[in-house]
Amino acid sequence: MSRATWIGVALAAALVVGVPASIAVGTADLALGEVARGVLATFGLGEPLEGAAQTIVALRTWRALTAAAVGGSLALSGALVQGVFRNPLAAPSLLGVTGGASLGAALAILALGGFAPRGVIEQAQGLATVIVPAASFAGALGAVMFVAVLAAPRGRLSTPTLLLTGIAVNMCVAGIFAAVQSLTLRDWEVSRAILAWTFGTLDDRSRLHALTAGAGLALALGVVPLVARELDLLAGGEADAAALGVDVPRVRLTALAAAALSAALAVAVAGQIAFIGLVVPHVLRLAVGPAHGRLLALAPLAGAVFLLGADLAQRAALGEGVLQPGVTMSLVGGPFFLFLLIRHRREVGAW
Amino acid sequence: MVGAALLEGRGVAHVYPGDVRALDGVDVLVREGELLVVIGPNGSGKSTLLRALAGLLVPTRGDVRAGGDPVRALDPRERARRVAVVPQYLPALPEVSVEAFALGGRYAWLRPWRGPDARDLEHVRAALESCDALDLAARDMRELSGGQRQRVLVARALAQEARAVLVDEPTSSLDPEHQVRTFELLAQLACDGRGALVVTHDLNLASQFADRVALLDGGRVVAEGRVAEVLTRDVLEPVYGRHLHYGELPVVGGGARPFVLPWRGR
Repeated sequence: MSRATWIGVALAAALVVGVPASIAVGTADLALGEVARGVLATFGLGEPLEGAAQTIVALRTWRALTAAAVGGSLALSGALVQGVFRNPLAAPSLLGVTGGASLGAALAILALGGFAPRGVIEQAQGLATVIVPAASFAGALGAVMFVAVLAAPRGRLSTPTLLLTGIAVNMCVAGIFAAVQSLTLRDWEVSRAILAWTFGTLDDRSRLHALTAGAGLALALGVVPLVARELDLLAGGEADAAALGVDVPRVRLTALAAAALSAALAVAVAGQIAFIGLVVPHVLRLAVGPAHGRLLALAPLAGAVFLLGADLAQRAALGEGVLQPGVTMSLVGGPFFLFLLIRHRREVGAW
Repeated sequence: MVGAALLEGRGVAHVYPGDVRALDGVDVLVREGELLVVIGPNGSGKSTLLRALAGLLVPTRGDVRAGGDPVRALDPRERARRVAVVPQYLPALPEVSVEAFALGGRYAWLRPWRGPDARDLEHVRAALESCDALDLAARDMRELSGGQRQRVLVARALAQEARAVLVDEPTSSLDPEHQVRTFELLAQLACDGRGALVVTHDLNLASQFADRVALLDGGRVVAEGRVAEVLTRDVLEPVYGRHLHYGELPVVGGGARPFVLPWRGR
């Protein structure tokens, strides 16, 4: 078996072990038998557990599945964006995904927190866990489309223009976001909610969240066969790939649209979770080389294991609700990335 | 035998942003069984012409047809099955083996959802063999010397099996032996029912191997014809200046061909 196959098998095994482990571990530890029964009941395949245990299992099941889908989406969209830009530092956030999502979420929190007409707020009671993600998805998509329209006025996409436009739009969006934050400083509940969203959360995730993130992941996986070989050929430059028969604009558009959509859905569901989109494709590239067939197949598995594992480790070590996974990712991801850069200076330079 | 038109440009003109006039109404024809060599000084429009013919650049004016169809209207894969390009070098070198790199030439022939099969691999190995690069197959592209890379680029275009092959300065990093062998290969390719257009600065390789020569200057074809008609002092001196020495040498197969040396003094 090749190295890539081994890594794939190991990651799949880690996922199979990680999901039940993540459900078992928490403030109230559960036995594996209970987990199995509770999960089956969650999907309507058996008798529910007694008392609060069933609720706990259901919550943790959706939490684990959401974590896996979000981690997988972020890693895969990172790998796609890096492949299109032929740059290991590219990430979906460059396209405006993260900034737009934050702004959308902040505006929704602002509206629900008392700035919308009273009637609307009363109607929306209890729907906050749906409305905020929906608004953040709309924000992410809006920012990406704004970047795309500005960078490619006649449908032709130039890489440097796209990157610069992405940076500029991100700055605009960050400015508005900062303004919203500053205007709500006195309303501590609203400003706390906005701040908490930026940390990213997997608490209180429901079937809807898991399905949303799963749909984004499925969409991005669906385009992999359409772009993997083409992204490999793009490594020799655009003109060369075009001369070999690659429809360069179509490949770029397909890969970026899928990456943006799945990252937007992931961020909408779980808030900002940094570093997965950047670090996971990076580590995989060091492990299995730059061929996109392998890279794009392994990235979702690795991302899922990474986020699920980080969430599990943090809950096991610190207890529930202490740190959010977005924070853990930043705390662990930053130093880890630095370590990689220093250790693999040469390979990283020779992208 | 010179046969059908494989690739044809009519009145091709191109102005780059900033009013840089690169091509100013060029007619060019790549025919089956013919090696056409395009020569011209730096900035004469050779590379722009090559890119326009390959369908990689939309010329400001003019019409480019591959196998009778407008090249820009063809599906990219179909275009690549008709026209192959050998670039002078690549802006970035992919981190792959020589064999995997040359397999890129088979992309236009792959069926959807299918990877390269044994036949594709056979094509690639035969192409590498004919470019004297089969022993490099397992090496990493980035380890190769400039000349080895250039041979692999030619091999990849052969594996592409397009009938019209456009070649940009194929000998710029080659040692003299491989210069001659590369041109032999390109001439052979023209004999095998394909047609080639080769852009080069090497007037002497052009003299030995070209079936036809076109001299480009200031975005126009200022002379076109058989070697003996174009590689003469009368034609070249107005374009290249006076630092050239002219002569004639016998060639394989009888007869003589002109040679031109950059040589100061009388």
